[in-house]
Amino acid sequence: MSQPLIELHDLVFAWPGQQPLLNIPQFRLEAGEALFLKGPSGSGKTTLLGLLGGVNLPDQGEVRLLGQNLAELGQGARDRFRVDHTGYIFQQFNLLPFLSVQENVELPCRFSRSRAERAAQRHGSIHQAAAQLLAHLGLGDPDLLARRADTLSIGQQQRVAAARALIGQPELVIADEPTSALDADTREVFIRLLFDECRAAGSSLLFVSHDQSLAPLFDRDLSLAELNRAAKPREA
Amino acid sequence: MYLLRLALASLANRRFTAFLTAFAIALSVCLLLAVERVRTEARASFANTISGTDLIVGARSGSVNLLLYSVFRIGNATNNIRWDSFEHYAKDPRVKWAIPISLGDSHRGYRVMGTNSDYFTHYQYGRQQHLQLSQGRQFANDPFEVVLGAEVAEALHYKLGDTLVLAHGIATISLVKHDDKPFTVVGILQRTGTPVDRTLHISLAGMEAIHVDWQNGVPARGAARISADQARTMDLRPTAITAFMLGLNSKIATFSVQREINDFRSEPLLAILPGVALQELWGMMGIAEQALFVVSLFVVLTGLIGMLTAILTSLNERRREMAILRSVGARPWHIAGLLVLEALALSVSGIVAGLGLLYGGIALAQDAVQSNYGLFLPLAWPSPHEWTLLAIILGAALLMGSVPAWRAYRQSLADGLSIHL
Repeated sequence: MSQPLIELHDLVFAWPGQQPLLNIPQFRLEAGEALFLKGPSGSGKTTLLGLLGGVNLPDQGEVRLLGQNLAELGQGARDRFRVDHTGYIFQQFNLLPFLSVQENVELPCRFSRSRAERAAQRHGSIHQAAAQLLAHLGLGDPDLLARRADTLSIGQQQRVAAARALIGQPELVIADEPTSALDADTREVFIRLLFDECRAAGSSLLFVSHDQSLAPLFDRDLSLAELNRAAKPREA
Repeated sequence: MYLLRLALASLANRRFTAFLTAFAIALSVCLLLAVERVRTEARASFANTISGTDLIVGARSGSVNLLLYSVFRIGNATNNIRWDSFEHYAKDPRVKWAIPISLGDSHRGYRVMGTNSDYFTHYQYGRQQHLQLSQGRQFANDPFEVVLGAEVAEALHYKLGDTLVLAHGIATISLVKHDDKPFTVVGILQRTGTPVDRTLHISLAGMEAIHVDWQNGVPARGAARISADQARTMDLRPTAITAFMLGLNSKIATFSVQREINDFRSEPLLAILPGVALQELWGMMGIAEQALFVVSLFVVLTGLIGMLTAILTSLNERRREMAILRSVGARPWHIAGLLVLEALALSVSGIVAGLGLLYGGIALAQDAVQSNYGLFLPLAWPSPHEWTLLAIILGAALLMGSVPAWRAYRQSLADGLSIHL
C-alpha cells in the first residue's frame, strides 16, 4: 500500500484554557485523491487546517504529511515544508491586490525553491508555468496577466488563486470554502477545472466546505463532525 | 530581493500615505541639513573673516566690542585713539606692519573705512588671502577717491568713475551728508565673503578732508566752509583714528606686545588677539546655534514618528495581506523583513527627497543669502559630518521600523494562515 499523503493519529487539540476542540482518532488522505470534507463553521475546520499546515501543533497524537511528522520539524522547517508541499485556496480575497495576476500566481515560487524548480522543469520557466496554468483555467488572455489582481471578478480571482495553489505541483492542495462566493453555475465549473488541474499536476485535493450539494462530485466525502469525537451534538 | 519588490508594491498601493510620510521625512531632513550647513558655513566664514593679523588695537572697551566694530563693522567705537599712539607702535621694531582704521561714516547703509595703502598690502582673510582688485586701482594721492567692496558695487550698481557722496554717521538714512566733497570710484575689490565686501575704503586723508571744516560735530556754515579743492591743498594728516591692526615679525612677541599696549602710559589702549576674540564671540552665538540644531533634530524625530504611526496604523488592515503571504510560504521573518524594508524605503526616499529640497533650496537662495547675509552656501556634496547625520537618521528609521516589524511578526505567528474577514 502506498504512503498516505495526510495521516492523523489520535490527534487532540485544544486552544489554551478551553475544552478540546478536535479529537480525531484516525484520518487519511491518499495520494491523488479528491476528498470532500464537510464542516460547518465553528466545527474546528480552520483549526484542523492550521494543524495540517503546521501553524499549530497538536497537544497529543501526530500529524504526518508525506510521512513526515510535523512536530519533529522546527518552526522554520515547518513553514518551508508547508510551502514546498501544499497549495492553498481560501474563501475569497486570496490575492495581493497590488500585484499583477501573473505575479500573484508566481508567489509560491518566490518562497519555495522546490516549487520554483518543479514549475520550471514542467513548463520551461516560472513565467510560462503561470501563464499555462491560467490558460488551462480559462484565463488565457495575455492582457489579463498584467492587470492588477483586484480588477478581476470574484470568479476570475478564485481561478487565479487555484493557479497559484497549483504552481510547482505541490502534492497537496487545500481548498477552504473556495466556492462560497461563487454562484451555482460557476461553482461547478470551477470545481471541475480544479479537479482537472489537480489530476494533471498529480496533486491530492482536500476540499473543505459546508455545502453538502458539492459532495457527489468528489471521490470520497467525509464529515468533520463524524471524524471528530470532541464535536458537540448538533442542535436540532 | 523579492521582498523589496513586495514592499515597494505594497507601498505603491498606499501611495498617498506613503508620499506624505516620505515628504514629512524629506522636510525634516532638509531642515536639519540646512541648519547644519548654515551653521558650518557661518562658523567657517566667521573664522575666515580675518587672518594673519596678530593684534587689533583700539580704545579701551571690551574685546568683543573692539572686534565687532573693527572687523565686522558692527556697533561703534567708544572712543578714538591718537595718531601718535599709532605711529609709536607702527615704528616699533617688533612690528612688521600696521594698518590704521578710521570709521564713523557711511554710504547708504554701508560703512566707510579710512585707511592707507598698507591695508591692501597686508590685510588678510580666509587662508592667508590678500585683497585683490577686480577693477581699477587703489586710492592714490587725491583724497577724494574710494575703493568699493564687491557687494557695495554690485548692490548699488557703481562702476569705475562714478561719484558718490558719503554720509556722516552710520544710520541708513542720514540727514547730514558730505555732499560738498563727492568721491570718485577708482577701484572695486574682488568678493571675499567677509565684511570687506560691504565696506567703502577711502584714504585717511579723505576721511580727514570731509571733516576738516567740522566743528564740535557739526559742519561749518557760510564762510567757514572749506571746498574740496581747498581741502586738497591742506595738510590732511589725521590726528585721531579708530583702531589699528598689527602684524608682528615674530609670533612669540605677541603676548609681550599685547601687554605693553594694554599698559600704554599716554593713552588707555586695548590690544586683542583676533582669534581669541572670535572664539569668545562665537561662544556667545553658540547657544543659539545649538538650540537651532536641537530643534531640527526634534523635527527629524517627529518625521520618523509620523512614519512609525503610518506603518503601525496600516498593520491591522494589512492582516489579510500578511496571511496571504504566509499561505504562499512567507515565514514570519519575511513579514518582519517586509516591514523593515518598508520603513527603509520610506526613509531612504525621504532622505533623497530631503537632499533634493536642500540643493534646490540652496541653488535658489544662494545669491539672496550671499548678498543679504554675506554667507556663501556652497552646492557641495554632503560633508562627512552630514553623511554621519544621514546615517544616524537612517539608523533611527530602521530602529523605528523594527517596532511594527516585531508586532507583525507576533501577529503573523498568531494569525497563521487564517484570514479574518
